[in-house]
Amino acid sequence: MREAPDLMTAVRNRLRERPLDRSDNPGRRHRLRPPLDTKRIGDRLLPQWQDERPPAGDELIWLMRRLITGSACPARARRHVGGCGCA
Amino acid sequence: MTMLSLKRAYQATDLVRNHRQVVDDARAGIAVIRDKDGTTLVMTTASLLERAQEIGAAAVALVQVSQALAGPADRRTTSAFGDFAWLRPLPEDAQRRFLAEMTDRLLVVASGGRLDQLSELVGDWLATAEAWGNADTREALLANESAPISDVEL
Repeated sequence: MREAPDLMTAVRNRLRERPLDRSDNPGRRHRLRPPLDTKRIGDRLLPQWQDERPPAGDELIWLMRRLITGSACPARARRHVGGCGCA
Repeated sequence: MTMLSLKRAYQATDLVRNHRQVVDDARAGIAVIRDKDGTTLVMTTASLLERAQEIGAAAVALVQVSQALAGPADRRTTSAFGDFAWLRPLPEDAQRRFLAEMTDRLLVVASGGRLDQLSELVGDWLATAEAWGNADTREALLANESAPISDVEL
């Protein structure tokens, strides 16, 4: 495991040189920030997340049901592809 | 009086005579070594030095964003945002929020927090900027739904 400063250096260099390449950090799940941080579905306000995949994969956007059930399992949103992987 | 001046200063010859003590001090934080011409040198761990460099670089990058936002909106170029040029497509409110959140996080990290807390927050904002930059994704994410989506498990 790399030391945190090494990790930060790698991330900073990668952000500068290859901003869309996240191969050094696969599988990260990012909580989207405002104005994209939440979506209202019916009477529920849900946080929105982006799941990172290898460059060849499609981008996934997840709606989490954590606020409703306490589960960390993401719910798959329409218009986006891929399997949950946590079943 | 700085922290360095409070530390015991080794002589350059201590690198031979008392090398174990010098190295132990460096591993514990810093070892101050005074060269023959009076130049003060410091030996420390690579991780401590890199951490200081990263925090400094992040602070400078945030100052650049702050300066970009202080100028007139119609004169802001992408390059004015420096390392965070990918912020440019986001609305100004979001850019200002990024600056505020990153500044708070940097203060936490500088006071002893984990350095990767910075990269985590940068990652969240980068994902947001990418999603915002794609018109279809932006529209899908901004749209509220009046009824539950049929293929979403809630």
